[in-house]
Parts: sequence; C-alpha cells; structure tokens
Amino acid sequence: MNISDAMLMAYADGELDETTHAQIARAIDVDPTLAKKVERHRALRSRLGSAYSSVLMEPMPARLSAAMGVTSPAPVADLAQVRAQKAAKRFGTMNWLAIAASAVFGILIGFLTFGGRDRQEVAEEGVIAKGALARALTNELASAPREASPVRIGVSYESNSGGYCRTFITTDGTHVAGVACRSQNPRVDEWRIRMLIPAEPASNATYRTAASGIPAALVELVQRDIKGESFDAERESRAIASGWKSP
Amino acid sequence: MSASAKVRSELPALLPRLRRFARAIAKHAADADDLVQIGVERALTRAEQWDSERRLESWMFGIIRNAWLDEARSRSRRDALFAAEELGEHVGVDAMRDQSIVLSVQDAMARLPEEQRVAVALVLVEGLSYKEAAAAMDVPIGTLTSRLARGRDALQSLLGETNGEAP
Repeated sequence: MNISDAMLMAYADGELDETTHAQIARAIDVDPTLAKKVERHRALRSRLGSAYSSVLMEPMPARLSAAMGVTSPAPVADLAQVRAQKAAKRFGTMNWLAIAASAVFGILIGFLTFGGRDRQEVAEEGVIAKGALARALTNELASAPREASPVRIGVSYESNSGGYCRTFITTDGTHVAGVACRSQNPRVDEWRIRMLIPAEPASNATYRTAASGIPAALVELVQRDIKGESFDAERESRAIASGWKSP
Repeated sequence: MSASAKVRSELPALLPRLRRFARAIAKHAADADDLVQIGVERALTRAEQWDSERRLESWMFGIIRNAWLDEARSRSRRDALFAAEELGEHVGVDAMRDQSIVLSVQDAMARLPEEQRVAVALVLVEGLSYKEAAAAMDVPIGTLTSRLARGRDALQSLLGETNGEAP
C-alpha cells in the first residue's frame, strides 16, 4: 500500500478509520522511515502542546472576567462559599454537595500537605498529560488510590462537551491541581489538561478547615462543565475498563 | 435553558483555553487577551446564533479566529512587522529551564502564515479533531489538512530536527 505523508500525519493525529489505522500501524512496524516520520509528527504535537500550557495557569485578567459580566471569584474557595453559590444556582437534582464535600474536597484536602518534587515537573506535563499523571488518569480509581502515586484523582465525570474528564491533585508537595479530559478520539491515547492551577498548601492536614486551599477556579470549572453527576466507583471502573472510550 | 443563557454559563470555564488559543495565534499576551475579550463580547451579543448541537469551544475558536484575521488585516495595513520586539518580552517571564524551547516554538509559530498558524493552534495546541477544526475555520476538511500539513512542515524545519529522534 502506498502511504502518503498526509496519511502519516492523519495517523499520528488519530484521524484515520480503524482499518486504515491498523494497516498503517503494520507498515510502520516494518519500515523505520515511516516510523520516524510519525515520530516527528507526534513530537511536534507534544512540543506545541507544552509550549502554551503555562497560559492555562496564568491568573485571569480582571477585564476578561468583567467581559463575562461576572465578578472574579475569590482565589480560594471555602466550603461555605461553595455551598452558598450552589444554593443560589439551579443545579437542581445534581448532588453537588456530595461531589464537593466528599470527592473534591475530602481527597484534595487530605493530600495537600505531602512533600516532594518541585512544581516545575508538573507544569512540564504540558497540555498532554504524561508520565505518572497520565498513568494515574488512565488507571486509577478515585475511590482506591495507590499510595505510591504522586497524583491523586479527585472526581471523574462526563463533560458537557461529551468526553470524560477527571480532576487531580499532586500529592508530592508540588501543590498543583487540575482537570484533564480524555481525547474523544478512541485512537488517540491522550489526556489533555484543561486547567492546571496552583493549589495552596493547607495550613494543616485536617478536613474541618474551610480555608482548604482548593482553587475556586477548579471547583467552578467542574461545576460548569459536569453533565449529570460525578461517577461512582462502579461507573468509574467501567470507564477505566473500557479504556475511556467516549461515553 | 436558552442558547444565550447556556453560552453565558459555559463560557467562563472556557476562558483559559480561549486565552491559550489566542496566545498561540497572536503570540503577544496583551493582543491575545484583547482577542479573547472581543471574542467573548461578540459571543454574548450573538449568543442566539450558537447552534447548541455544536461544541461551544469550536464556535468560540471560530469567532476568535475571525477577530484575529480582521485584526491582522488592519494591522498589516498599519505596520509591516511586529516580530523582533516581542522576543525581549518573553525573556525573563520566568526562569524555567525549558525557556529556550518555549521561545523557539512561539517564534516559529509567529513566522507561519495566519491560516496555517490557526490550523496548527486548533489541532496541535487545542487538540481539536480535523472535523472540529475545519468547522471552526469554516473550511472543508481538505483545506484544513493541507494548511495543517504545510504548517507542520514549516515548524519542523524552523524548529530543527532536535525534537524527534536523532537520525
């Protein structure tokens, strides 16, 4: 089969139908020249992603929040504030309190005080999650975290835009939290980071404190983006077993 | 919920990504935020035009892209070039060790023709599918892929071979 450069690019981007994708995968196996071209495409994709990822972490300029007609949120959410916001909104049947209190807050607060690597390494994960973060996003249950993992999954949910998303926080002292969403293309094994935000270390390790250091922007993003309810352990297990194929 | 209310409620969560996309096409942070602001204002005034079958982000990227092309056209009439001064501004933003990589990617992006840069930003920076990116640019998929391929080729030669495996 004659493989054009355009096809190799589409292959690297996960844009081919299953049959063609498989054919090209076989051709690449036996042809190092093709493999190298695909590798170049993927390397560029990854490099481009990383080059702009820091923009996601920059503080939102007031004029942009103002353009939305919303006042900027306080930098740190406390539970009472979130409850009040929730009550004010019309999330109806959505069990927000449970999500916020148990999944996000409980787990996040619990792990904010661990020590470890510096923040930079996490920032370098870039737009496409890599390494330990990618592994945790793909394999770990929020309800059954592995002790050794430097990343803790908070809550898994289906996004309004269709794909799966998961919140995470680093547990290695880097104090970074974020949301990553799975590529909706089943042939692209990628978690793209939608938000990466510094999470202030909690002043102490107890759960009772309201000044938890959970970035309000993260809570708000999930509040806006979630479709239905966050996953229970069973739904999460199914998603993991399916390889996070689009819902 | 009306389309307009939905746009209003979903847009804030998209802002960080809109800023990233704008930064990838406009490079200069202040210009990029101007673009996002224009995009948000336009989206809110014509929110009822949003087809809710379509992902809001794709619609927003399209609005921002159009705003940028308008701006780029009038800018190119006003002054010819705006590349050199920005190099200095990015230096020292933070002393991350990958600064040289960030610099050269942004510099390389700035050298691409507008439409190639938009295609690259949508697919490689924002991770849109070809279909979504083509919709955001309001062009057929074939046009998108040819812009993307040309943009990629140009970036690869501008950035050198160091990003892939050594030959």
